[in-house]
Amino acid sequence: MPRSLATRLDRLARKTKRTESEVLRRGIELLEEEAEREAAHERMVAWAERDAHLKTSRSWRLGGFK
Amino acid sequence: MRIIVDTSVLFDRAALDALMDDPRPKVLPAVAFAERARQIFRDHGVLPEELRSTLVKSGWLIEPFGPAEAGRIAGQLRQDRVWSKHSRDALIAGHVQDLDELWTANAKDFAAVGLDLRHIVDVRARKVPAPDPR
Repeated sequence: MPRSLATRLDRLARKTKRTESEVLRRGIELLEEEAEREAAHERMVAWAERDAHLKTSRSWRLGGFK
Repeated sequence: MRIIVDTSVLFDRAALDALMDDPRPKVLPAVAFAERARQIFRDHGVLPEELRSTLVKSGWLIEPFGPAEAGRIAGQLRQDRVWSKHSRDALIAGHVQDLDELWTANAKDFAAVGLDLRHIVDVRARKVPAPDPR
């Protein structure tokens, strides 16, 4: 578990009146959100690498506008 | 302080990784989204909704272009020749507020439309700032 997430859960448990099961449920939600974020990032990176040759030319994006 | 992301950054793995590690809000201007959505659909058949969903799941905001953004560029770009050549860059630059950075691989285009250099982060020159450890 990432340290930042562990810190958030610890704070949640200490500073609120959440039960242990509520904290655990929130922890699972946060882990799922983080996994979804990482998966989305990997998808963006894969797309970026496939099209990396287009990075420095805006003319392709203009579709012949120039 | 936000990071405004130019379309060109979406083709740069190192910059995307740096953005992932940076805690500041990431903003993709609607014009940049349109550029990338059109290209990725044209070249690979990826639907705009799939791109939008992926960006949102990554924690990015796709920011609409409204009167505030339009007003910012209208007051700083007077030359017709620059406007006709770099209008889309200008529309993207319109999203940059006082404390924002604009990350791009085409820094000189944004300088050409009058964006103050202090806002511009050239990802090609690897001038990507390290994320704040706090």
